[in-house]
Amino acid sequence: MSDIDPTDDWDPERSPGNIGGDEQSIESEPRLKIERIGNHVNNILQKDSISCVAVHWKYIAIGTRLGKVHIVDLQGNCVHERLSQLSLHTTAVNCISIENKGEYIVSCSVSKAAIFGLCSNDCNNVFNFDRPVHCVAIDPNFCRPGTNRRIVTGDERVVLHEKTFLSRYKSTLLYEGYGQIRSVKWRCNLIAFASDNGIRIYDMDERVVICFIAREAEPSLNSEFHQSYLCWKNDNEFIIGCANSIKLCQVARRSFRSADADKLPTKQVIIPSMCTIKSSIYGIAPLENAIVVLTTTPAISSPETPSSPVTPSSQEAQEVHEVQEVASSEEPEKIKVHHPSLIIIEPTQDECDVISNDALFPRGYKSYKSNDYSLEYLLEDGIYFVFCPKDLIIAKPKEDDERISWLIDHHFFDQALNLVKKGKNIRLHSILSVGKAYISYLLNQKTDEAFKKAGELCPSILGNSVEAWKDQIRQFTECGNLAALAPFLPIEDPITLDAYTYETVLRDFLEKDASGFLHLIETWPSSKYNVQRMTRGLLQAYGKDPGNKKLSQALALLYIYDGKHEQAVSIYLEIGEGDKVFELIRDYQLNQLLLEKLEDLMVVNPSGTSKLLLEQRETIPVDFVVEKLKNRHDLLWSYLDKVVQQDGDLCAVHHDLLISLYAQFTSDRLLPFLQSSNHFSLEKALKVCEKYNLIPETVYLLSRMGNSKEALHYIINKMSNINYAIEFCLKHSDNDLWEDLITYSLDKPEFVAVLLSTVGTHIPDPVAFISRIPNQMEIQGLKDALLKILRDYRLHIAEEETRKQVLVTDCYKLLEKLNSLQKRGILMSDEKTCNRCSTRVLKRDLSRASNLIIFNCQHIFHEECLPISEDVRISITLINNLIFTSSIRFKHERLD
Amino acid sequence: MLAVINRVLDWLKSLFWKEEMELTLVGLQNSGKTTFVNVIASNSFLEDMIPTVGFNMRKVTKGNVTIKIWDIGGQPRFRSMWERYCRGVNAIVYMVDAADHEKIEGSRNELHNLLDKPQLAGIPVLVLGNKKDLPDALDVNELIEQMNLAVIQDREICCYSISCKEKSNIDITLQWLINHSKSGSR
Repeated sequence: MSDIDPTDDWDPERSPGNIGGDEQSIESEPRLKIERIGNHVNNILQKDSISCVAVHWKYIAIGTRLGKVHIVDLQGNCVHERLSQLSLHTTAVNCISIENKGEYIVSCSVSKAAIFGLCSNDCNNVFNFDRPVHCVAIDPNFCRPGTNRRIVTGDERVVLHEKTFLSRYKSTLLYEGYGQIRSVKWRCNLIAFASDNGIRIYDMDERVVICFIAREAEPSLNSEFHQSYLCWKNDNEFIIGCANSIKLCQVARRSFRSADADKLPTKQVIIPSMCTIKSSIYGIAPLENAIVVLTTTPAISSPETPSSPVTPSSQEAQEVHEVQEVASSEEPEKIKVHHPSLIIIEPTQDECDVISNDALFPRGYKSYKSNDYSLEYLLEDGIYFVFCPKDLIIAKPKEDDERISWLIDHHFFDQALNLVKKGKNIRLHSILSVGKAYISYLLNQKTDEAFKKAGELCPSILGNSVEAWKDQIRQFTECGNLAALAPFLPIEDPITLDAYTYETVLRDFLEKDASGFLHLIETWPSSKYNVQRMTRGLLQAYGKDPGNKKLSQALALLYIYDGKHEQAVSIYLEIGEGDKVFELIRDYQLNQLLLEKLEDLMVVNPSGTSKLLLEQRETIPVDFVVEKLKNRHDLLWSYLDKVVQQDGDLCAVHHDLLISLYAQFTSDRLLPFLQSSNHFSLEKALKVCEKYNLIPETVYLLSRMGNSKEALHYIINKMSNINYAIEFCLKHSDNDLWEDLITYSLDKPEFVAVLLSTVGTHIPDPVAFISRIPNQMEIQGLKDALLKILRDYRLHIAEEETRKQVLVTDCYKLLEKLNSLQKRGILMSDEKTCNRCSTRVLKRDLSRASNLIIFNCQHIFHEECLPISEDVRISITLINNLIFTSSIRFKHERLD
Repeated sequence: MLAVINRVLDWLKSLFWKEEMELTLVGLQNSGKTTFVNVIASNSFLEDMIPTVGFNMRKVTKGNVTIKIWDIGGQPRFRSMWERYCRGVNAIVYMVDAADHEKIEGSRNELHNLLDKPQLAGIPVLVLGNKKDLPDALDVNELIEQMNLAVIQDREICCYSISCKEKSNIDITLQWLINHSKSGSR
């Protein structure tokens, strides 16, 4: 592309993505790379103009107004002189068609069509017509033997020309109908041709038109100006574009054939989807799942347009069209100026999404009408050709590298990153390069969000490259926003930066953000930086700001990393972070330190310290701690309390001490402890309880010492709580206690009332109690109380009687059961034998039968076998009857 | 007598078993590609050739095989097009000027670049060291080594040393080509 015509007023590389056509502010990414084909094509255009173009994947055939056909390669280089300029026609070439292998081309002018072989002359032929021929198509399988070297031409009819046996061409009329045939496209055995009223598909196998798709455009649109365009996507699918509607069509075999449908062709065309676009279509081509459409858009006159500076500088090449162009721009708007553009659309159901829009500014576009432009394509390579009389432009889908460059230039970094991850054949860019551009763009934005985003991006972009990390740290530092990057710095394998880098970051935080510094010290492994150096740095900063708790914590952490635990502990104690100390002691087994600082720690956090001491009780015995804390009763109490909760027997010897501590600090814990412990002296405990006037505890101790009477007195005297006293009596159920209680209560009417109403039948003799109540005493609720006693008593009696009845009933039931069991019959079957002599007890000969003795337990004996004493015999009298019955039964059997 | 019968048989064979093959001829400029085409097509050697621009297309019939040859220009600006013309052919013939030692390295790089293209996988390659008549021309073994042909494992590759001027080894080259008329067809 070295020798582009200097008169070009449009540089495809430099042109903006979408001038004019789409007035939205959001730029859409151009997906096509647009180049002008130069080289030999420029020479052709010096004297001639393009009238038609056909492309093969190895070359381009250009037909001109002067009737020449030029073969050039895809860069526009002319080829061997033999092929470079074919003078096949004398008037403008209307149409060229190339067969699949590229060996033969067929071209037509108004009155003539010519077959030309690029490498042999054996098939060359010329056809002369008396009607104007607009289009021609060669059999795609022209080369294949036995295909009769067929071509079709379109004038007002579609005519097939094929070679007959004697090397003569024979013409067959395939279709004749309405209007001029505008284009013919032959694919496999299907010929699609467009006339002014629609598109027809002709099946060469069955020699029949299989479908007609009518032109669906507003009648106001001139059918000559808004032609139907069609292209084959593959052997079975084609796309039709007309005016502004696009139809996707499929050729399919008819699925069923009814009896009367025998005459119908076997193939049919279905239209799965169609859509409309905003502008008129002047060419259409497939692109994978999308469609490329050539359309035109009104050109906005902008400073870049040629009448301004560019044109005067290129005066040397005075081309005809250039003059025309200037002339037309000077005339007041006769024709509205349009420029062509290639849009890529993706059809979805009835809608279509415009993916991209690439504006083209061919040479002399100002003087052309919209239908002067045409689109050709090479589906395999995804290359599109747009030509007008004075220009030939090639558009290729952009390579991913180019797309990324564009995206970066237009700050669509996220899309660029996605593409660089997914794309193929990317040589120019890498995730790193795109990412770096993105980060530096974000850093230049100088907003907090951008900094944050930049930081987040770093790990995924920089990956394992130490150099890249260092570089970014430098950049972030320059922006003064290292904080955004710090959380994302790699601290684990596989990459580690050198200590200096980490220290730089830490220093930065030390100056600006103490809590951030603390967080980094907490999260980063201490091996990543030099702890001593950081400690020194921190101490300096600490000197300036001694009250900063965050710095203190960080310092303590650094001391810990450095193994200076004592210093760390002192700092923690100073700032009251007891928990940290415990963790520290626990993690590093600092028992010595624990003992030294025991009292301080107990003050800061008694329960934590106690817990810790308990954990370490193997090395720090309880006795030792008690000794150590003997002067601090409150601390001792909380420690021993914890010990007892853990295991009561651990500190058996200190239970006496603990009782007094409980009495002193938490008396409510004392009673449960007294109830659970066996290791204290009752007398001492009693004294303590009396001293602190702890009544329930005293009562408990007294009753535990067996001194329940005294306990009751203690309750009555000290507590004056009759309910508690009653409860106490109920628990011990001792008549003497009741007696004492009654005696004591007699002079207190309210006590009597409570006693009467609550105790009821518990008192051994309520009558005696009532009679002992002194006369004249006023007792609240006496009547109710008495009634209650009576009722309780009656209930008591009724209960007892019922119980008696139940007992008697049970007795009778059992007796009946016994009787029935004793009266039960015992079966004497034939097999029964005497349990002594083992002979059968039932004999057929009655004379030899002997008496039997049968026990309820079913044991059977002959009378003579069982030496029975007289007293037993009495009980057997009953059995004789049985013997009798069995004999009778036996007789019956014999009779049968 | 036997020869006459053989000739008649060949003629009959060529009537019924006509085979076609397509090959692409590439190589750096001035290595003798167009000359080679002329030699096998018309057995004529012309000393003064003009450099090929773009491509040329020739059809040569040898026995019952019709060979279609794409002769591509060797100048740097055409090299990006080589891959396009090599796609789908039965064989690639790569011409090297065995006597031009300075260009051997460039020639080697271009060959390996070309064969790395995924679209050309598996297509047989014939490397021809032309101009063996010149005094300091490399012989076949030197050429194989200089062109680093040993690393090409995924396809059939062959190397001959020929001379278009003296028409030596043209016959074995043609034989090789004819043998490959069926393999690797598109």
